Amino acid sequence: MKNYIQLNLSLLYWILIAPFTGQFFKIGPIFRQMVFIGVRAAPMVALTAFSVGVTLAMQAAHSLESLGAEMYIPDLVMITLLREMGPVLIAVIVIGRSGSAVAAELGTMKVSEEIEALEVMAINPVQYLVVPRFLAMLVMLPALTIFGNYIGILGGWAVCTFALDFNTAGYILRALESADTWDLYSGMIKSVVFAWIIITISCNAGLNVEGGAEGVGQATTASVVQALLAMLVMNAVLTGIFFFAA
Amino acid sequence: MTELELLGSAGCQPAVAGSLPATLCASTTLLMNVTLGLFSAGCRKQQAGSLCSPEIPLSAFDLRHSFDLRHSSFVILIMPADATIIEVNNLVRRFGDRAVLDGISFNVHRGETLVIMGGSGCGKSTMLRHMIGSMRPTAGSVRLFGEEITGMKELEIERVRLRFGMLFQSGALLASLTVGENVALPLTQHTNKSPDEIEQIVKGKLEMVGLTGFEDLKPDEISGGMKKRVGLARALALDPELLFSDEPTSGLDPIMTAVVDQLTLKLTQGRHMTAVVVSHDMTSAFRIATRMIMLGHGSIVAEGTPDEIRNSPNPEVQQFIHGRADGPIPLNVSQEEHKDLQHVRPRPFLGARFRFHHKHT
Ligand SMILES: Nc1ncnc2c1ncn2[C@@H]1O[C@H](COP(=O)(O)OP(=O)(O)OP(=O)(O)O)[C@@H](O)[C@H]1O
Ligand SMILES: [Mg+2]
Repeated sequence: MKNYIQLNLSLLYWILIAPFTGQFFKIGPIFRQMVFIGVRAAPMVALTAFSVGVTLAMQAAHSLESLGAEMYIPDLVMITLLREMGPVLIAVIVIGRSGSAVAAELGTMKVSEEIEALEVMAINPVQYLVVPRFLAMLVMLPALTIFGNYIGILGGWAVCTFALDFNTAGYILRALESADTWDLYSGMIKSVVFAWIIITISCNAGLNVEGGAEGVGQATTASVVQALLAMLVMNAVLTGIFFFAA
Repeated sequence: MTELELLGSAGCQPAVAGSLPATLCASTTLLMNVTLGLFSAGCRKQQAGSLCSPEIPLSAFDLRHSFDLRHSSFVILIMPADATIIEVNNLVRRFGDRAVLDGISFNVHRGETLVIMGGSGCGKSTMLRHMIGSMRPTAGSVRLFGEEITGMKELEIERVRLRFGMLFQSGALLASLTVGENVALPLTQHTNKSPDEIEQIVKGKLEMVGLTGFEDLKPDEISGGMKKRVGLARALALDPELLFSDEPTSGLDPIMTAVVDQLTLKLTQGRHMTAVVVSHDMTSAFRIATRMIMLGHGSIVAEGTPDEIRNSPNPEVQQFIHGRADGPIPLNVSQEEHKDLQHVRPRPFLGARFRFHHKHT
């Protein structure tokens, strides 16, 4: 926990203070990480979001049919996706895919003395390794969430047009009418917070590995579990703040 | 004589480093510092008139300056040629309740090549790790360039670390970068050189270690000995005044060993660089050393010039340098025995522990 707080503090230093003392971020590594963390995860995110959209629409159809309120299916799909399922499920995918990879990569660097070598060359590991990953994650997770929302709504549309007798225009109109911008923004805020949690937990796990290859394995597993738990708890807290406190 | 060190900071914002105002500001400071430095050196000479003659020619002092781009400051060092670069004082390091280093003290002077020998697992790499500030000692002090590094914060110690290079026992190359990028790393991070200049320097450094044309391979595509040499090239990238190397020649063939040794000799010639080398390889050690230290059960078993070590009456030293299986050095030391051995202080062999009187020639 002490290490985690320290990591966050030095991250804040390198992002908020260091640029004003002339030590800017290098753009190249950030883009490389964005491709790795974000772009490569897109197909998985698309598949997940599509299945979720389809499932949501089918469940909605099932429950709303008995009330004779089928016309609200798009509302349900849209709101559930934007507010909850989108940010959470896409964060789950990114934890499993990119968070664990970051923890394993940094962990391997730690046990093979690469981190120590960086320090001895007067290169700060937080600046050199964590900052690009952090910024990439902070941009890419919300981007993936928006992308996933689109695909999920497409899934709902597929159910509505092919299995129920909606037409495309009707689905889109209903969906747009149901959600307001706050639904989208709340989801975006969530995914930014999740991005922060995921990448700091993964990097912290990687940088503090001890004890060879076995240590790397343990740290990777631990980082996935911790990131999932922290993310889900944070989701409950944020939902509470956004939709109950107001 | 203590070293005379003058640190002048230009105080320019690093944001403008390399631009005209910074250069102007910095060069003014350089001039001021040189004047001040010479002045204070002069004063010292006056005061210390009885110790050293006032006619000491200026060439007896090494006038070095280096422009540290990151902090936009000039560091001017005016130090006597035999200045102490490393002072290790009563260094103790325990892992659990096992003291791997138990009260070690020695100094390294400018231009020396100090070879640290000792059996496998006796704490040579641990010793180096304390000297580069990546491990904190249980007790004792380490001073590099006159600055105490044991209690330093990360940001302070970075400034000291820019002045030395380190070759790790494993090479410690970054696996995600190519050989060329690894050597270029300190240059891209700490200087404002253009990519072309950096490429030229990288080529030069790789040529020095006999690896021309391997720039684009990844570390896992080259052999162990090649990794070592890339690590050496990377340690030398910033032309450090001090080089630490952990077994630079292990895993190298005899010819490459000679090449690396010659490189060390060339760099330390004329006292441009000081080197601390950990080595098992006796041929290589005797070839490059100006002074040797043998570690054993947590303390210094013997210390002296190569000749003094070669003729040492200490049976442990003789066993080690001649590589005999039987002798006073125990083959298998269990954890408990190790603890016991530490209380057996090095026996007072007559003449075994040499007083150091190293003369530069
Ligand atoms: N991080 C650590 N935790 C616990 N013990 C350690 C640690 N690092 C080193 N040691 C112990 O310190 C002792 C010295 O290790 P060190 O790596 O310095 O040996 P060495 O002299 O460099 O050996 P070699 O010649 O084989 O490289 C070993 O007995 C090792 O068990
Ligand atoms: Mg070692």
